[in-house]
Amino acid sequence: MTLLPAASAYAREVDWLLVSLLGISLLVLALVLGLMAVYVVRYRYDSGLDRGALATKTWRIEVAWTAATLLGFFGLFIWGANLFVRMYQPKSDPLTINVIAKQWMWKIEYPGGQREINALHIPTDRDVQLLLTSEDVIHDFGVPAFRVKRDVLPGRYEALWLRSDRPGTYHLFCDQFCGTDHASMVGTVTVMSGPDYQKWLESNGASVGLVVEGHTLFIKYGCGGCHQNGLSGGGGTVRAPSLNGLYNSPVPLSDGSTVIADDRYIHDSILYPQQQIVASYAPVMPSFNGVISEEELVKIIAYVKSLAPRVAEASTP
Amino acid sequence: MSSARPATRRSRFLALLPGLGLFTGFLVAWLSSTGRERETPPMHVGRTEARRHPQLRTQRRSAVLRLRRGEPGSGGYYGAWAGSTDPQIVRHIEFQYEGMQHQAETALSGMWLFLTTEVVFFGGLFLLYMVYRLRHLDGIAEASRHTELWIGTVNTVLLLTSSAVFSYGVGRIKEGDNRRLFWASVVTVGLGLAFLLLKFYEWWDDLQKNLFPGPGFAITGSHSGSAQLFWSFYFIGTGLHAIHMIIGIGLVAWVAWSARRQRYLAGWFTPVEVVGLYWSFVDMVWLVLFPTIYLVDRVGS
Amino acid sequence: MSAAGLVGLDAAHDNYLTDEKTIGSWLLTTDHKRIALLYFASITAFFFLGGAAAALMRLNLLTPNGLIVDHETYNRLFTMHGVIMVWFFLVPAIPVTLGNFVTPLMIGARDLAFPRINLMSWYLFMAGGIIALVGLFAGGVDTGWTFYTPLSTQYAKGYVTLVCCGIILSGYSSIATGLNFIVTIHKLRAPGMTWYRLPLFLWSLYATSVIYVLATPVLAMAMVLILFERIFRVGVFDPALGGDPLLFQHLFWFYSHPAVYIMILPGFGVVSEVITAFSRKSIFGYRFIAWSSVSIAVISFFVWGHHMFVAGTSLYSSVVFSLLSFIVAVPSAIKVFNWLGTLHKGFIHFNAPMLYALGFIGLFTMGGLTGLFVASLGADVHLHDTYFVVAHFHYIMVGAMVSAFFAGLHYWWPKITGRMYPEVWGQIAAVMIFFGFNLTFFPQFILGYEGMPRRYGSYAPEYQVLNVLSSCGSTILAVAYLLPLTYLTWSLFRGASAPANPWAATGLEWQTQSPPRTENFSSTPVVTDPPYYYPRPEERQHV
Repeated sequence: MTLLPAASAYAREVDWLLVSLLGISLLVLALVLGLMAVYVVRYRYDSGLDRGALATKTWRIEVAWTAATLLGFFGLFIWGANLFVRMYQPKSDPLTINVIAKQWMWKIEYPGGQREINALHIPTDRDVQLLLTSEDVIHDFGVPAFRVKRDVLPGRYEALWLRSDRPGTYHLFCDQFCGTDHASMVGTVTVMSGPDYQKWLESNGASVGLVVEGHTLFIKYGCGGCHQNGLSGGGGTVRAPSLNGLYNSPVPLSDGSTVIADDRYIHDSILYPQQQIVASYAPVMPSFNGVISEEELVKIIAYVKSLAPRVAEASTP
Repeated sequence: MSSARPATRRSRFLALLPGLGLFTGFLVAWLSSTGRERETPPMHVGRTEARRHPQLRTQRRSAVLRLRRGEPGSGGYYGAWAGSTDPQIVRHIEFQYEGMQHQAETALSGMWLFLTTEVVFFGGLFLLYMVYRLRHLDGIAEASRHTELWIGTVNTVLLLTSSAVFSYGVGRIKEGDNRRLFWASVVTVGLGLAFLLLKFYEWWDDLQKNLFPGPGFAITGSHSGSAQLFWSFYFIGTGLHAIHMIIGIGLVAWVAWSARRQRYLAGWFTPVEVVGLYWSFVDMVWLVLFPTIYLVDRVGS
Repeated sequence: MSAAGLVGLDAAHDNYLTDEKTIGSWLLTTDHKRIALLYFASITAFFFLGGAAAALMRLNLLTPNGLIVDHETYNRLFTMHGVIMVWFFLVPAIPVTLGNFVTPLMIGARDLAFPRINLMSWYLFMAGGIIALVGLFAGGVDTGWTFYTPLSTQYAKGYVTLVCCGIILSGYSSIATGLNFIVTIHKLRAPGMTWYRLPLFLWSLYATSVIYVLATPVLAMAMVLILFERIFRVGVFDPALGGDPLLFQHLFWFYSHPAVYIMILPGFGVVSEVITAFSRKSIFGYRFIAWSSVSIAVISFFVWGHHMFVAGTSLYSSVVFSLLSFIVAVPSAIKVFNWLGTLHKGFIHFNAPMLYALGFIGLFTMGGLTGLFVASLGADVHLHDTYFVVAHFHYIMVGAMVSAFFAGLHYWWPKITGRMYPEVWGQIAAVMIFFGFNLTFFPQFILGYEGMPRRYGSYAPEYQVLNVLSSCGSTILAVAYLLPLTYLTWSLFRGASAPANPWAATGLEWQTQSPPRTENFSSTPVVTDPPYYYPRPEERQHV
């Protein structure tokens, strides 16, 4: 039994919180058990001690220990909430890796087209954004060494942020009961220093890349028929929002709100196009739910993300 | 027109509901009717005894409750019958109660508390509906336009009338009129049965139109998914309501039968009140279901 | 063996056990005391069934690859353990046995407000239990007691429908019980029994009943929705249709969090009774303890989101739930301090009930403090769905709650049966349970921090040492639980005859004979003293 390694700065912060909680708990426990021990000895019925009068106006004591408890708890709450909120803030320029969970394995897809089963490789000192989705039931991507985990839901992208400063290999567990072989749905997260990571990427089946594969799928599923993006001819009669420069740009919706077109937005627009209609467009896009698999979606989204704004683009939002 | 479906598991299950409901209704009625006859004298501490002991701080009672306890000069809910020692009435007082007033108040508060739990029960379902409507307004709205408004409206009228009729019956039994209570109950049962028959016809019609969620669902296109969510809510909500209706019909039928045997008295009609509360509650649930299912998204596009 | 011989009494000393002796008089009884015994037999059976499942699980976890069963079977075992223990043991436990028996006695009433509904409760409970057991034994369910969708609705192959039906029925049983208690406590109190003279056991039972009545219907609806999905194969929570699997979690935990307070609140009440009786001293801070029960019941409805911190809910809702979860711990802390205050300057006796109650205070403090770990967002992300959570809730549900159950059982055993249990064996069992329990569950805190996930039938090799420790502890615990079963049964036949008030305690239940007569009191008691009135030596001089 070894002590759990801390693979990131965040993990070390969580450890501080846990140690403090432990310390406070031990103090309180010592107080409670200690008082109890003293009282049962001192005040046992045959101790012969002169007990004297009982305290009156006990409400002062009550208010005092209630207030002290509340104060202590509030401090602990702030500390924990702060850690949590910071962990989930998006960071700039992350390395985005897609994770698709299915009973009972983890499928990892890298931007360069590398694919792995039950293993994740990330570089040190880089913000890594894992985009998690499931093909069937709810799973949970848990890496104890990083002190993080996140439920992986079907039909939805969830983001988990990692940033390690310690090369090594760490456990990956599925932390939400998902069926028969839940206990076998384990793997490893390997953290490598920059150069080592580059070497690993190159030697591990970099394919044409997600973007190229995504372009192929974009044509195959007829996306270009409406979203005319650089395909010659055009000539479609359907007016659809342009995808050039779409990624991470603001999109005004028909209900008056504005959203940022992140990975989640693109994913949901393909599967559930009726949920968010772009302002001034008709709601005619068909849903590809059940038609395009999560793995293919990853590639199509990578392609859409690669589309830069064209200089002479008509100003469609 | 779509062809008739073969009897599927789902339609057979729907057919089981009436049996289940009737059985439950009669079970509840039987449980209420086998009472312990009074063997020991009622627990009674005279108020004068209580006043003699200065340390006795009896429970504070509001003015309203004092009136309801039938204290002298109050008239009260049970009026002159409150502290009755008439053996006909005393026979119905269980041994843990001080008197008829005490028992009746307790029974009614029990029923109100039970109805609160029923509100929370249906509340979970309405929460589901509200969340899905917030997210998929178009699909839900389109799906709700496939409901039959005339059936919903007629059913609402039937149920409201039945509540009014039964309340009339409760008013009559306060004067000791078992005969009018009997007829009011019979009419209530009749209206309830009419409601159910219309409901079963409506379900049959919905199944004919392939509006039961699943493969082959009638509404296709991009709204198909959320339309199925609406229709799931529809079948669950109306199905649960129908079960409660069937139980209620069983209870009202039992009241009718007891009234026929002249069982109730002006000084004791607690079961009638309790059943009346239940029946009104079933009515209330429908009054929320009806606009939700039939009216909300019908107007406008 | 006649019931009279069972309690060592002659016919002149009629009581509820000897009045009628046929099977029919037991199965169709409306006497709250007999119903309490019927319930007691049922939940004891369920406890040992659920415990057997746990024993098999701990045996399996002795080796990293699972010693005796495969994954599929292990999943069914822990589901069975969870379903039985939660719904058929813990949720009913104290209220339906001790609560049913003692409530009318404590308020000076002859029975509950609705005795027939009380009997119906037991039948609903038995029906639900049998249906659930059929499902669990016919082939089992492998979804975990939490039934998360879409696993339980679309992917699980098992008897989910049957077990959910059983749970719905037991849910209605508990709603009926809660309703009965609320109405009884409001309407059937004896003259002079004001709210602030009520024993604290009844305050906590009242709070428990409020939760029964308001939370359980939501569980019923969640189960109905699962049933609809499974029977008709339509997706209510299916993302492919636009449904939301998280909605099930919200509905489920809206009930299941208050449910854990259903489990512990009656335990608080019992401990208040026992501590004060065996300190021969009035409880410290009566009103604070009373209102802390009520505030726990109220706040408990607003913390369910802390089961879903990593589930995909919004960041800000998680922050709010975390704050409320810390707040809900405050009333429990107040109780612990007040109990210590009761011990202070008391005259302490070490009978078995007191040892169990003291054990409760220790184990509950540990369990409650670890609750702070999981209420804290930063810590919970790491500890969620690991053995840390398992240890946390077992400390409360088993360590604290079962200790409180035994405390109350031993405390009121003379009243219920008219017999005294063997004191020494009671004390031995209390100590053995305390140590066996700690050995079983303390290692699991460490296992959880180290990252071992829950619901794993096989695990990474570095977790083995702690697992072996835990399994050894569970053996000791199993033996320790068999002890009370043995000596309490023995006492039914050979125990000394009990007087009306063997502990010289206050409370109306001690003013009537042991065992009580069927109608509890021969004449209505009138209450004039404050609660827990134990005259101090200095006051006695003036008498």
